[in-house]
Amino acid sequence: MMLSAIHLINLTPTFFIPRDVSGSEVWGCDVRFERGGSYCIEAASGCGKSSLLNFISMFRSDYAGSVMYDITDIKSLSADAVIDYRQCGIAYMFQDMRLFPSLTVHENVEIVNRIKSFRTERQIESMLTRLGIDDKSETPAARLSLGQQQRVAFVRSLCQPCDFILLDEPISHLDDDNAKIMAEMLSEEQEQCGVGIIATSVGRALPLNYNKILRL
Amino acid sequence: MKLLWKVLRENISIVQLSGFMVANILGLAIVAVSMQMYLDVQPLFSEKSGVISPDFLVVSKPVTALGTITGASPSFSAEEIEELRGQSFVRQLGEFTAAQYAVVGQLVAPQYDVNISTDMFFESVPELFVDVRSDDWSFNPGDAVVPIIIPRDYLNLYNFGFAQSSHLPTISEGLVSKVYFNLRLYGNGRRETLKGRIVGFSSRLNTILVPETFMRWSNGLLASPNDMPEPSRLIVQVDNPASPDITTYFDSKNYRIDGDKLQSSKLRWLMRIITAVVITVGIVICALAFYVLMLSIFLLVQRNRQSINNLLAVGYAPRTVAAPYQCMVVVATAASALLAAIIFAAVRTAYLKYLFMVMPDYAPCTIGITLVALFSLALILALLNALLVRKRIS
Repeated sequence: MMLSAIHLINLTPTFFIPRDVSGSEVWGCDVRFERGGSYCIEAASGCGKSSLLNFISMFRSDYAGSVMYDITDIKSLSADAVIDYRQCGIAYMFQDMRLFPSLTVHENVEIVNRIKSFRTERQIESMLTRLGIDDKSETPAARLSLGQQQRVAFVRSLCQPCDFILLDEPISHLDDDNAKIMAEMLSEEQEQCGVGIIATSVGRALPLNYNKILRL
Repeated sequence: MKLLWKVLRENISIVQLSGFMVANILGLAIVAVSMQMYLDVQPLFSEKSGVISPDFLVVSKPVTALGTITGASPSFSAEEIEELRGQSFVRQLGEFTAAQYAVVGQLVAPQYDVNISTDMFFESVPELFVDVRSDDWSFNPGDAVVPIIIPRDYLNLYNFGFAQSSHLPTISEGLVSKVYFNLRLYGNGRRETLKGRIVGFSSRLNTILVPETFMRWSNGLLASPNDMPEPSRLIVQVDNPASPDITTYFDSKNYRIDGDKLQSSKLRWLMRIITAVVITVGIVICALAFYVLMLSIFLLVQRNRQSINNLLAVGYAPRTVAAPYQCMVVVATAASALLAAIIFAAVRTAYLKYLFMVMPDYAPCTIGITLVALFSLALILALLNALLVRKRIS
């Protein structure tokens, strides 16, 4: 069940409806994200970047218009289909990371990897090493800095098979070096698996070659 | 599952879980003990035990000196019978029919130098009032043997009274049933000779009982045509022996009731009520325990809401997230059921001692039904709780 495209048709959050969204390149517009492409959504704080990704990933449905997975409106998907897409279609790196504080770094990655056993132990170790957090492998997530947590959340999002990976302000707590490493890892993943990348940015974006940069 | 459990076990309140288990153990134990106790004391209600009789009353009129002098028989008229039958507490009513001819019983055993005879009497009641079930309890005209049922008290009087004082051997019910004796019936200028055999012993009917078919045949043959008097005794089955209407009515009519059967029936009825109440209390306690666990689970899910949402967000199916909690409630309920079964066994062992004291030849009832009921109830509670957990997380 491969997801080739995500299509937004006149998508507008209900809390924006009285507002004039004519200046947006996403709200109220016809927007298409293709698998294998890279897309950046830029906006100031409070413009709905996280809301957009939540709509696309089916965590929220308080919007007008449609979000289509290929030719299927996501509002018509069954509960089992939603679970399937979350496990194999859409990977999500949350802005607030959503790590499990009582689990270690390794356990936080493993708890997602275990769903589909997508990565080997070696691959996970390699990813953690590249991002410089391999020495924190047995440290509970609650004791990590925000930057370290963000890197763990990123590795975790790469531990599930997907057609699209959504990243909500992925480098907000990272320095340029780590941001570059993250971008390299994403590009490699895109090359190998053909995933589509949709990343949001409040000004400082992941250093990728984007097919499109959209202003919210 | 181990990692999942590590995330989900946070905020579990051992106190709340223990509270549920204690309440559940109590409720299940009460239901099991009261159910089994009701089954175990049922034999006490049977006729054979003689401990507590069912709801049958034998009604008669008092014999007065005046009646003796005038020769008036203390019998019930048709109107009196119909009036009693119409009372709200009467479920069934039967009449005692007496033989209207002379009966002589004779036992001859020359090898043992035995040749005894005695005058006797016969009575019959409708079959549904007979408390003895025997394959031999039937008579068709032309049969050579008359089946007879006598009061158990007659044998007890011999065994525990006469035999003891006269240093004679006691006789068992089985032995008595093997003896055939001669019966000579005289009446209406005719004579019949038959064999008689005691086929059962009654705890309910204080008479020498013969089948109704025999009574009809023999009275038709040996009684004078105009000699069919009114019945002097009636047998009544009542719905509620504790009803004050019974005592009120019988007192107002100056009728007598045999022995202390009314008190025994009241006791039996009371025991039923008490058992039903105790079982209900047990079920209510189980329901409350279920409610406590349900609230605990809701609270736990609420406290772990963030973790549960994160698990769902990263791709875990609701049924997978619910599984550890479902496992927890099933294990807690199963443990409660096991402990309740142990308590039930201990309590039963304790009260069986007293039952054996009351009835030395008491045979305990099987516990299979009660154990099935106990574990079925526990299973239902576990499944309901597991379902609620899944619903809450979904």
